[in-house]
Amino acid sequence: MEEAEFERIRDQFVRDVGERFPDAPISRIEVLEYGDDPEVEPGQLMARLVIDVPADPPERMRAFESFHRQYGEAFHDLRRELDRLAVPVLLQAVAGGEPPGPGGAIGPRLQLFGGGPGACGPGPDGGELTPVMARLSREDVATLDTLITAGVASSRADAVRWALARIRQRPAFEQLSAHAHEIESLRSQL
Amino acid sequence: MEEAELTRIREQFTREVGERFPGAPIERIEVLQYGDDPEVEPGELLAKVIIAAPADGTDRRQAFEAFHEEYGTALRDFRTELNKLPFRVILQFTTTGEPGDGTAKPVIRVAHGRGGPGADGGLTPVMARLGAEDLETLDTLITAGIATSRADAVRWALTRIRERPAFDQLRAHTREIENLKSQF
Repeated sequence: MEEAEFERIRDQFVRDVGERFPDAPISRIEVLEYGDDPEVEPGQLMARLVIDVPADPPERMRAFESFHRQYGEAFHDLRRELDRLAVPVLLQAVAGGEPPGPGGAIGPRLQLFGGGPGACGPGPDGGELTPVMARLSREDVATLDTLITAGVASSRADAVRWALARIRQRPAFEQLSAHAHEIESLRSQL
Repeated sequence: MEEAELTRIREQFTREVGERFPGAPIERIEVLQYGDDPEVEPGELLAKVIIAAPADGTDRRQAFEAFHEEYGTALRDFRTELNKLPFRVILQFTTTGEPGDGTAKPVIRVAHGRGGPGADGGLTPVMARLGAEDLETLDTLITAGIATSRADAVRWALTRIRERPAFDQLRAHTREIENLKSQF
């Protein structure tokens, strides 16, 4: 994305947040592009509100929920505003401050995906779709992004579908599938 | 899972919900296993609590948010309790009625806290909506014992892709493209 276009989107977002969230405890507004944060896909942006909350976990959760109660509607409106942009934008509200030590909870956070077709939009077959969430290592994410950069897939979700289609094409998969069906059928007879 | 075992879990789940969410407008409770709903993975259960709510989209969301506000803590405690079971359970809260006038039904999905959200050091969540054929591919890998969950099956598939000689070449090209892009 061109720098000028990116700045225009960021300025607009900052203005929208200012208008829709008066007096909200927002400590930072971020608009990130690919490379800034591993969650951002190539060709995608992430708009993030960092909410000012106490460090203590129960207090943290309560403060975040009170933000959600008070500004939930505004957050959804902001989502609709972002849906009008040509570029897919992930919208997040995250609890700010340092996450408590190792093993402590990061977040809480709230995430709204775009309404339009985008990173997690309708699949190729248009049939019933089921969301699958996977936490991936840096290497796996890089694999998906390589497929996007190469023009093989249009998003990470699309790249996952592409990879699965390749697995299905292997001769060994057909045999595996036959065995799996046999296992299922035997299990039901036990 | 055996029918008797599932019936026992259903009864226990219904009892727990009654105790933990007293006075909540719960319409019905469902405990679903693999095959009942495409979201359920092999070896996993989906515990669904359906809240009675008005048909209108806006009213429905308000009713749902009121539920969340009142029972948010109970909901998280319940999740913690479910984590102690020897199998994975997805806990889901939703409302009655059909998704209408363009507004989807509100859903809260409390996933298994495998070691807590802080335990995923350096992992990036990726969400993909998959069709029946792709789901079946993942589930075949689970049934065959190659993967332990759908997420694990996705990781396995990506590792296989990386092992192909063509992928190495593809990666070299995309690096070159990235490199050239930055020089413009």
